[in-house]
Amino acid sequence: MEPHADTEQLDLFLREVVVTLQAATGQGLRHVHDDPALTDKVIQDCTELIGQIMDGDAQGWLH
Amino acid sequence: MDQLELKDIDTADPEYVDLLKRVLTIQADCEIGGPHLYIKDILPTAPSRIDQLVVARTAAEEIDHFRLFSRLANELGIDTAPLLSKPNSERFVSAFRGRISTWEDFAVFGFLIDRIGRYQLEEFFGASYAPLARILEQPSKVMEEEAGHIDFGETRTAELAAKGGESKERIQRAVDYWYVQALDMFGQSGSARSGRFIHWGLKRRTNEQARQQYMDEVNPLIESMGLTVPDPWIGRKYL
Repeated sequence: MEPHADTEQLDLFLREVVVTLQAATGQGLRHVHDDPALTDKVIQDCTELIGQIMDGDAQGWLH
Repeated sequence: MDQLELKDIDTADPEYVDLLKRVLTIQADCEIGGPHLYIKDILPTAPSRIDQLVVARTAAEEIDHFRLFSRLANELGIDTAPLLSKPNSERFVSAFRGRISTWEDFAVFGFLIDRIGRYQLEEFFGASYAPLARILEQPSKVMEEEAGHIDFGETRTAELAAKGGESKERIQRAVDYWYVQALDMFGQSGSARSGRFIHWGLKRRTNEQARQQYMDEVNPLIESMGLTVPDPWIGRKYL
């Protein structure tokens, strides 16, 4: 059974996205009360990154 | 049957390989289908910064779940990239063919539909395809995260119901909609295909067994919130 050509790259790319989002949301939750401006920036950054994943341009990400 | 590893797939029964590819593709589709339903409208409008961060974290976890099941499908030669961006209207499961634009719908989606997600993951406990079974071995990050989504949705649903008045009416309407979607997600009772998934160790319960267990679990929860359990026979596509 031949794996799909993008198996490793897609897995690595999405893993990095998830780690980034988890770190960002964690930071936002830690500072939601003492630094709302930072939290708003985190939410904006997460919105942009998740939006890119929802756009689903896998070929653009990987090649 | 004995558990199979990836290296065993080349000599496996063609029906088994076909069903395995199908279940992995559908699972990946459902995982990424969730965020597609709610990200556009709910992330910017969630009631508080904490809620916005929880929505973002939930989406991140579902993207990770997609990654895990997508990888298993990719290893079998399936291209799952198209699942990332296909229109909601083309999702395999009808519950994902729409859009969530209210906080009430997001809460009830977590309460009722992410719970179906847990039921589906439970079908893979001890699955005949070892890489799939390993994702669900305790402690399973996927199961823990899904439990978090369910808990958040259940808590928010109960809070909104407890407010009474218009809030309770809105949440009841959301329950009325998603409860029927949830019951249909179990598929047709007496399904021959379901029997084949069970035969090959890719499913543990019949559709009707799982649906009844789900109803036994959620009906008391709905009632404990002072809400009405919808009629399980109205608006259904798969009985």
